[in-house]
Amino acid sequence: MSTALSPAAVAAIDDLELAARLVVEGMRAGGHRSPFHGYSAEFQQHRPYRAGDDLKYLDWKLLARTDRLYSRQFRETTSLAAMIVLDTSGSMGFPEDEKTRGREDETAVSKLRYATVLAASLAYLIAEQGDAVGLLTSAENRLSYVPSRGGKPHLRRVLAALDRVSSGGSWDPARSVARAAELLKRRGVVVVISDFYDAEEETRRELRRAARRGHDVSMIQVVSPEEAELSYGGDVEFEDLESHERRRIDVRATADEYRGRFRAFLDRCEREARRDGIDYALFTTAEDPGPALRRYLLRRAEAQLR
Amino acid sequence: MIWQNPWAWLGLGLVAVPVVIHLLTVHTAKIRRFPSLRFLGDAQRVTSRRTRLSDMALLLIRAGVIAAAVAALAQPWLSTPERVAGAQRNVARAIVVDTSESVRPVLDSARGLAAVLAADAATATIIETAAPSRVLGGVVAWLSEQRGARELVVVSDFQRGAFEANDRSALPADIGLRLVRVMAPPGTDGPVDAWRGVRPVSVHTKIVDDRTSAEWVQGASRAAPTWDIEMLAGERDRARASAALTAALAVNAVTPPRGRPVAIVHPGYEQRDELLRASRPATEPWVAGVVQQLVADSALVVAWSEERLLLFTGTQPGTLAAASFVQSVVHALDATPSVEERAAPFTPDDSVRSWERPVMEATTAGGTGSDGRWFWALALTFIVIETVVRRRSRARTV
Repeated sequence: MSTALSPAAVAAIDDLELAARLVVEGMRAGGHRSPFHGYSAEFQQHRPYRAGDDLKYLDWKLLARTDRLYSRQFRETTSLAAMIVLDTSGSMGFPEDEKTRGREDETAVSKLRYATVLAASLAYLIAEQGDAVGLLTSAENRLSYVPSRGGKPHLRRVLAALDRVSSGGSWDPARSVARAAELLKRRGVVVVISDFYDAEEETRRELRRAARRGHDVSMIQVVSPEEAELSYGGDVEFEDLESHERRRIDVRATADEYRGRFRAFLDRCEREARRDGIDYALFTTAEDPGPALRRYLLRRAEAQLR
Repeated sequence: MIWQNPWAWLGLGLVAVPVVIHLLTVHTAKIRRFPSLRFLGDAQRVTSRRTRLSDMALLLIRAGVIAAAVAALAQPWLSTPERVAGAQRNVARAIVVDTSESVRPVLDSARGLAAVLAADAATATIIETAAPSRVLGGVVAWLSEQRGARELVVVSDFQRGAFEANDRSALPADIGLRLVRVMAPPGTDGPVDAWRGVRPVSVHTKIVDDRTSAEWVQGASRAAPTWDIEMLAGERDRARASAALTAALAVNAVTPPRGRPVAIVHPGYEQRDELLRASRPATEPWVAGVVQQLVADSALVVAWSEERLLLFTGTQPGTLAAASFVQSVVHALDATPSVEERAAPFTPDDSVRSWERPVMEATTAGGTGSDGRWFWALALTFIVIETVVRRRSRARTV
């Protein structure tokens, strides 16, 4: 199966499950396992039986062979629980669907669509290895979530919820992250997919707090090349997708300054995340989601091995 | 550079169209919805840009497209000396010689000129006619049958009506036109003093001695007499002569037209003989008519001296016969058209020159020679450049 999937092609696939499968299968073709390790019941060692031990852990086969009583010990008895937090604020709707704006020659993928495909792929990947996955989004300042559970039917619920998301309004990232951390009853994985434009400090604080609670926190930042480059010309009146504030800018005069500030913001996000022990990845919507995700997971696996 | 269709230049006004479109489109700034304004910095005061032209290169190219197209439509023809000479050598030439009354004195030279022009052309025909404008249809038909460059030559004095602007515009654009003026001397172009009217004069008559003598006294005239009739008489008769003139003018109740100076020389005038000797035969155009009117007076001698007509009369000043003669002169002057009216009005040289156009090389038999194709090529080049520049500009703005 070809792994070359352009962002536009992925965006064009209406069936999110299919898109996620395409991304994940393409990734598996490279022979990589998911680096999301949970706390599954895994045999660790035997120890002599002590009175009071649960008889279900007694190794009967060993008793039969050696006539000695040994109890089996496991490293952990729980599976991985992951919660994906998806930013659906107005800014994620950029670039807007050009088809609806009368320009069919370009099929720009919005950050939200790209993020949705990423989230679906991760959910698919986690569910496929038998772990639990949940989703938390917010619509009109109301958080809505799908609890973290395993199983195929539950994956469908997650994908269906992802399919329904649309960009709009503002986002309270700190609240969302805090809620996601709370929803995971035990230690788990929190993956936050956003452009991280809003409430930078508060978001960072909540991510840090979640990490301190023992969660494996991942920050996936999605940006589009259009906003990174500001490749417009002349006078442009910009309208903020969230606050709808308008500002008239001579782009040629300010583009360099803008790019500098934007770059500094991305660098700051990465630096602060690393400092806080938070996993960070930057995705641009121009990249093929499959290879980009594979690269990310590889890097994560290597980091865990260390 | 000759423009065969100069009216097409009016289309140059269309250059204003891209300028207006440009200004109107600049008026509204593009609105772009953007994720966040936090990295964009402060808003800038850019309202003054509304009336400022942006993308000047694109505007100039668009104006260039229109200008080149207009120039091509104006049918240019580059008249280099080589091209003109080449065209002259192979020209088919129709020469129309005006034989109307006014040209007759110089008809021989006109014919000679026509012969020279005919000899100089590859093919030629000479048409003699009293009304050049009437034969143009036939001339054009003859020229249309000829191959190569074609030219019409009109040899005339260009009296009004002989060849007019509408005759010129009726000619096909590819036929060259040369207008050669031949003139019979002299012709003057002074302003016409056409005022005619009753001069307010009150006259008292008084019998002096016998029935044949009379003295006319001019009364309360409200305006000084401004006629050009001079009464030359002896010292003794001078007052009578003047009175006779006054009386004649009063009776006629008209003013002889200006520009026709007349002196009536009476028998007793002291310098009569000297004047007669110094004078020459009167040949002025208006004199003939006047003399024809006065021919009844057998004693009349007509001569010209010092820019006036001299009438040597035998009538004694102060007699009724003298007054009657003066009256006849006034009548004759008044009845004959004035110099200005008689002089045939001619088409001014400036107009005649402006009507001319050079012979053009015919690209094909019967085809029009025009360098317009180069301008079309230029317009096409501009369009290509415009497309490239526009695409680049769009790529920059999106």
